[in-house]
Amino acid sequence: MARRYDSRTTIFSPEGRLYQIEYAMEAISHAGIVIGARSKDGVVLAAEKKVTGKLLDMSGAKGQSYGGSGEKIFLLNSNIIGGVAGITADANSLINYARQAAQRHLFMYNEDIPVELLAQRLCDLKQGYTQYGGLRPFGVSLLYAGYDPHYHFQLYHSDPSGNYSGWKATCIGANNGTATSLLKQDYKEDISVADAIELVLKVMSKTMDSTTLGSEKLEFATLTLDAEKKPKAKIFNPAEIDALLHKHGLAKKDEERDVAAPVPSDQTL
Amino acid sequence: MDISFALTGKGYVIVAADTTAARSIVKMKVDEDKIKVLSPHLLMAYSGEPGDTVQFAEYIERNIRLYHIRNTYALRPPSAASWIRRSLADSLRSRRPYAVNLLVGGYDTSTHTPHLYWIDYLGTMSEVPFAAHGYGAYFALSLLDRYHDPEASVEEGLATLRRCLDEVAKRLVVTPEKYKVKIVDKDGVREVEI
Amino acid sequence: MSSIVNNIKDKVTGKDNSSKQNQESEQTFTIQPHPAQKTNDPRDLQGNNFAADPKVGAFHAREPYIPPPEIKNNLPPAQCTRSREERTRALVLHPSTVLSVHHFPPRQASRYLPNMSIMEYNGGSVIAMVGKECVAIASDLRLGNQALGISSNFQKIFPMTDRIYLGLPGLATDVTTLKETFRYRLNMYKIKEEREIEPQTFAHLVSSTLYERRFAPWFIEPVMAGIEKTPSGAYKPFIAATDLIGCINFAKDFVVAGTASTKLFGVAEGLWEPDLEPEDLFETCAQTLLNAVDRDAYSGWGAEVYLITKDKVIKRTLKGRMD
Repeated sequence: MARRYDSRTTIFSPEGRLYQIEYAMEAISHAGIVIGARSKDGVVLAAEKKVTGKLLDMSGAKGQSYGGSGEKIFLLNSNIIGGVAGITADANSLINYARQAAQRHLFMYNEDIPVELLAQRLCDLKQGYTQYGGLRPFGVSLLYAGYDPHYHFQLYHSDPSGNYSGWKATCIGANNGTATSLLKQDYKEDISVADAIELVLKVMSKTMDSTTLGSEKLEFATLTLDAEKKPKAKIFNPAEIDALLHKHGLAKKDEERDVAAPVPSDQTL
Repeated sequence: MDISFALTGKGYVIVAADTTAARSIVKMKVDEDKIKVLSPHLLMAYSGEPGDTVQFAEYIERNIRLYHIRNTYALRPPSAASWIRRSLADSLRSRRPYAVNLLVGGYDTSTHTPHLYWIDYLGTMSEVPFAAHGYGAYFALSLLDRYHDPEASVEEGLATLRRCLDEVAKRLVVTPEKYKVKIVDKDGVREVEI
Repeated sequence: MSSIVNNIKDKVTGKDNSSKQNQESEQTFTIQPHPAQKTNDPRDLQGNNFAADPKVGAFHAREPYIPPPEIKNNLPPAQCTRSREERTRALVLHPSTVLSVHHFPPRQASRYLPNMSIMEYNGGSVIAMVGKECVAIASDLRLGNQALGISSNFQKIFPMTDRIYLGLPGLATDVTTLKETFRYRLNMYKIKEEREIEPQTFAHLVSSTLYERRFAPWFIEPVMAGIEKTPSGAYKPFIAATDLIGCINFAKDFVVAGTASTKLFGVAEGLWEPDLEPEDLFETCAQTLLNAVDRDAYSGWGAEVYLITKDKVIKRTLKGRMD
């Protein structure tokens, strides 16, 4: 019965629902989890990688470069990092759009784009696909972790419908219900960025399918201020992630290190 | 024939502009306000080709306001000035360029610093401690080189401005009789009598 | 007779024939080769001496090609023998010919700037020099409105990457516009390529950006300096300059631009030598700029120098004469 209202993104069902949007959201809830937490002196993003395996060629991944070769966490502008969950190809397209939007703002106003404005730019695009022309909506949710002089550190979430909202700590992807309740439990006001890192890693270790964390399953990034009060984004490379996990006592035991997870056959990550 | 001055001090910018609206050799109006309040902490003195000035200033005013409404916060002075400059630079290479000179003064509430930008009709922009447009510039700039103090209080700043106005009154053949003076600081914009 | 005339001439011009000794001991000058070359042959500045190669020489010949007499004397007479009147009549009669004569309206920007060069409206100069595994680029800091000084802190040199710096002397509005344009284009390049641009590539980006506006140009003559990494891992200094429509000049020694460019050429020609160490290059570059702008009313009011070596960039702001 629902089929009649499925094929078009722009058609409401008799119950007033947009099925394509809901399916897109469903696709995201199978994707690798992305967790973000905001503190007074920084924002933290962590993401679970699903496409792993020892045959996967990671030599092209530069980690720290502007382009980022990560799968889940990207630098959108010098003051904003983004975490994605959903269809990878859609995400790449949105990331490219976000970077262009940020550069256009820099060109027009000679300042880094405010975080909320960038979220709005993407949501305007995403919303368009829920209304016009029989196209498929973007199957991507994003977390935006950023800094601007107006509201300092911020964390936003946007979904395929074009809705966005600001958060102290939130997550997208598989097991987001569990992660959200854990964040709710453990998040405290006025935590420092070090506390936020610990919180995010702890929640990550409890919600991920695998029992122990390692750099081949995890992406991690922080956004803080440098000595000149300029935003400084840091996307951790695998060695740094392992060092961080080790520091927090979440690292793998040595005998488990070589066990690689199989590559999932579907498109979601 | 328009004359405008601006100078920064400790946590404020003073912007002054004469109030004459003239056509040829005739004064048409003597209480024209040529300083627009673009946002709660941003001022813009404009001068140049009559007609272009008001048209361009209102275009800028409305667009800065629109940004404020859309985003709930206003553009910060450096960004606003960059955008205004870009508008003029684009206009320069259009079919009919605006011939408007600007002094943009503002107080950045996020870094707590005053900013002053000298912008001309070509889109030339420079952040400066003090600035002037029109014939007043030839008399006042050297005077400000000598007397301007970036750490001066508002009273001292106004006294320095007073010197500039007196010098123009003394040496310029056609002297405007009245100036409008506005100050922008952490509390926003206010007008002062001088 | 003629000796008498000569004697009178010599008296009038103050020349003294008796002091021949002095004339002979007078200092003589020879033209020394340019420090960057071995001889005075301008072809030495070109990388490949094509003109000397008999195979391809004809295509690179510097002198006009004059055919030998047997060819010259046997040329057929010119085909077109129509009279001037005939040709004029043809021009008027053919509407297509008349239509192809374009009417160019006066340039918009210059409507407000009569009788002056737009390139000299705001003043400012830039110079870049090559050293041993290092380059230096320097500019003055003046922003003027013709003779009136507006700012003594107007930057004209901007970092494009960690080791490419771009100087933009010319019309100040275009300095800002181009600075922002290049920042935008380089950021987009970086996003797409996931790496920094190389100096050679950047020079062509500058060139094409300017040529885009071939018929309504940006009034800027860019000067760039950087260090490029060769495939073997060595570091090679790089400088280049273009004119306002993007014709690139890859130089081996120094490049200059701006209102003091003529003076900069003179001083640089005298002070520069090959393979200067970083600190010597800095001194050479700084002194060249400071002394050249002192002879230019539109440049000066302080200077800044960037010294780029393979592992660091040093920026120094210099005080200059304020007149």
